[in-house]
Amino acid sequence: MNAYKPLLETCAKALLGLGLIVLSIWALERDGQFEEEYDSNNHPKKRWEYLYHMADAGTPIDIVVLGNSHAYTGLSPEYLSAATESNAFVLANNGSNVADVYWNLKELLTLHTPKLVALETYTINHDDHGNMSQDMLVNQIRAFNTRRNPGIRRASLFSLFPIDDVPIATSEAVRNHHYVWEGFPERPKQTPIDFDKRYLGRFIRFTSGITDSLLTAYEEFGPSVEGAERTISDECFSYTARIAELCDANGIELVLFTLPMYEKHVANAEVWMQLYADLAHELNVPYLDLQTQGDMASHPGYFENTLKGNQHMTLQGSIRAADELGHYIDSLYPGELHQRADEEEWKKYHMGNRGMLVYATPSAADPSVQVISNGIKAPDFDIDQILLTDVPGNPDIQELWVRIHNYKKLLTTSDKDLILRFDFRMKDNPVMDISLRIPRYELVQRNDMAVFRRTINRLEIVKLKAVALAVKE
Amino acid sequence: MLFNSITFLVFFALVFVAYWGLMAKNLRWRNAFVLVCSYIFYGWWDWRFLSLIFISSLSDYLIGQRMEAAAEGGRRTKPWLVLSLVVNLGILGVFKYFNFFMDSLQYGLHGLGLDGTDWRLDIVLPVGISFYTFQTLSYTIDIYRGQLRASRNPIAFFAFVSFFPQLVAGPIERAKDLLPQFSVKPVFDRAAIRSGFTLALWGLFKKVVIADRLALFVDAAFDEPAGMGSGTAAVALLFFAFQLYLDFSAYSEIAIGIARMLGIRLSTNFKRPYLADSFGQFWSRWHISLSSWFRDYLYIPLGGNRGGATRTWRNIMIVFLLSGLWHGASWNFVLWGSLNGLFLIALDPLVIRPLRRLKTVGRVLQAIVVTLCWTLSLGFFRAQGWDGAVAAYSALGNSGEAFAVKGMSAAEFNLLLGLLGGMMAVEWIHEKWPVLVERLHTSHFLVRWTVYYSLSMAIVLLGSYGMNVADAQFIYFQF
Repeated sequence: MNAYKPLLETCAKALLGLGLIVLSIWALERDGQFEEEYDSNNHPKKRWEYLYHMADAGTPIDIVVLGNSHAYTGLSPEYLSAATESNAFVLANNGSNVADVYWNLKELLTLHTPKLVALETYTINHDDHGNMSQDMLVNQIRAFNTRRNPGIRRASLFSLFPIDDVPIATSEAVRNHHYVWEGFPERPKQTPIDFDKRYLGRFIRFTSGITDSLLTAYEEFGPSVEGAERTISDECFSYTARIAELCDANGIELVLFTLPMYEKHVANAEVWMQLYADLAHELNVPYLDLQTQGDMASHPGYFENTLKGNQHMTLQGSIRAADELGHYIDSLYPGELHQRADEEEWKKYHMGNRGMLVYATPSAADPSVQVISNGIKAPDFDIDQILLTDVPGNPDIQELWVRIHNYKKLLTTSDKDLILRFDFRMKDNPVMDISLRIPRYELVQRNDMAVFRRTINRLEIVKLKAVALAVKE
Repeated sequence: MLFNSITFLVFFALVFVAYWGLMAKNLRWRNAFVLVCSYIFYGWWDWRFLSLIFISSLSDYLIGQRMEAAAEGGRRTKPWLVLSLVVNLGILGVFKYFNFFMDSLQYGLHGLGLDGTDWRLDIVLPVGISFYTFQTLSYTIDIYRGQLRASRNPIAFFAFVSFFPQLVAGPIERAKDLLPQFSVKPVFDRAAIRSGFTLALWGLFKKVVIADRLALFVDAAFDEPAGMGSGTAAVALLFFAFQLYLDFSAYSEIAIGIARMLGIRLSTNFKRPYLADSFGQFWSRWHISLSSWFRDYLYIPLGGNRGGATRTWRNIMIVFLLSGLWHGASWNFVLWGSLNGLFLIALDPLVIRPLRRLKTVGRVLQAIVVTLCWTLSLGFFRAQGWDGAVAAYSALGNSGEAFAVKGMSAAEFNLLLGLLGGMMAVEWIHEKWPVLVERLHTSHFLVRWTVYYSLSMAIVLLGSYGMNVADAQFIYFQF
């Protein structure tokens, strides 16, 4: 033992020195001086704040949508919730890959018991934690530090970061050491999160679609993304398989789905999508491809106006995507996963969710919705409901929503408007009669139901007189 | 694996414990362990190029023995030396210079109105190839000269060629200095470990805190040299001079430090070159292991200064031209080397010598002239290609544009100036009172630990690293 004494002493000194440095760094960051500058757009943090709050408040989460920025911009959890009569939450971080997604799910399962996980495939790509770009590293660090569970954070550390990045990932003082010479940022008082407002993880980033000039640019420059060059790294494959195992172990259904990019944005999309189809097949999970199947990829209005590789979806696209995914989930598990349509608490939670006007019956307690009628049988179809709703921020106008079903023989294509004839009164004016043409709400494209919507001036509907379908003008 | 990475810190901690705890007692184990660690260290970057080190080591190991046997048998040894040169310089030529010579040939043919075939190899330059090639060449040349016995211990010889602390960026060790150390059982010497650790920590501080911060300005300036004003261009060149010195000397110090912690002594590579008061002295202080290699294996065999002024000048120019080419396969490096050769030939006698009459003021002026001329030459060294160099030098005359801080905030720039001032003060103290630095290793533990702690915390809090800073390789890795 004596022979090892000098070595042991040296090692002990080295550990002591290292401990001293670690202790000093810990002491430096204790008072929060090295915290990141206030960022009102820290959505990963907001998502976890809500997830923990929802767990505390007993608000269940039935469907979790996992992915990256494509998922949280490209899918409306509000519409998905309404379409599936459940609570859907998008837990996605920008720029992250599927390893981060796995650890997110792992922590989420300590709080909630979802019945279905929908994994968006853009996060399953060629990346692995050993070759992260600077942007990806920044995002991954932010996402890592917004998770709260210390055990899962520790377990995930070395699978998310190369060893050289561990200090900057785990220590604010190391990460933001430049404050020392550049000055510590002023910290504006942060507004506490208003948990009374419903938040399901989405971020509306793009509200207008592709412009004509970009459409012309596609002709000139060609597609921005070469689908045939896309690959799935071993790490991404492995973590997707781990997600499947985790879901299986917790009795959760897993669905893979791809949110589209504009059809002219991607070359050889079918080759790319085949990768995911094969992956889904290998994992024995269902897969919904919205890139090459259906018509979503052909609508310029659904997509961010950019030639950059990772084109996101707009608000309109995200509503349509929720419709498609919701319909797909319904077809896979009819009535098995979510049956909250009759729960008044669920309806109240979704007050103000416009998806409820499309797919469900809004809460009777919702002061912004006026039920004009429900359950009318017309000769060629049935009317589920006619609603008149307020438009937030504009008291002079309202929206008229009509949902019909049982029309299959008549409406194989969406080429019809709804004609509604009724008596109405505006302010103190006398009652008048009108035939109103209401166009189809294009963001819902189903065979078993159709929704019509129109903005009108504020009025009072006195009496419904007739309803009919007419070919679009 | 970079010295300035957590990966290396973990790697070295494991190596250190295993080395002294398990391997040091048995010489063969120790050498085998060093060899394995060195191959892991190099293979971490790209394992495929281990084959080049292996070929170089194997060929020189065998050639050394054959050469010695030939000498003892009275046979000619030169063919063996030629074979060694062909193998080593052949590998170097293919991987480092083939594309350069082909491009130059293509350019020349094009100038003559001829179209040559576009012969280029799609290859990467193996890290450190110039360093270990010169190191292993010194072995066969020394045997040829009868100054060294051939090694009969393949493990020790392979470990000598690939010894990881100095494998990728030197110091370029001579076989007669390093190889015998692989035949002696190492002794756990606390004083050596302490001084090695201090040196490595100091090197890391220089690299991470100063050199990498200088790089922010320099990289931003040289990325777009055309728009720079004269002040910005001058500062960029001066900063690059300091970056190059601090970066490379830091690597050498870390290499020497960690080797010393393993009981192996490496040679000094830098001796405060920016305090040199002549060009001749500068080259005896800058990259000493390379300068002395060229002196011993090229300059002196060419005749050195023994054949009159003209012959001496010719020899100097050959050495500097090849030294430039050693640094990089481009005409920029050839010009850089030639320029420094000219400085040595012309400015030492014409400018430096007359200044000596001014005593102290003269010495200061001499050091300034040497540093400024060296700095000026570095435009060729740093710029991307001929056009980049022209743009950088043209910017020096662009007085229309105001000085602009590049690649960093004003606060960072001020911090940098302070650090550079402090650095030069330390250099001067070291020059004047070298014993002061030596005394640190034997001082009270509180003093030593204060120094260790301060340097470590400075690296953490003042270092140029993080999410928005690109990983900083050592500059000399590219050679």
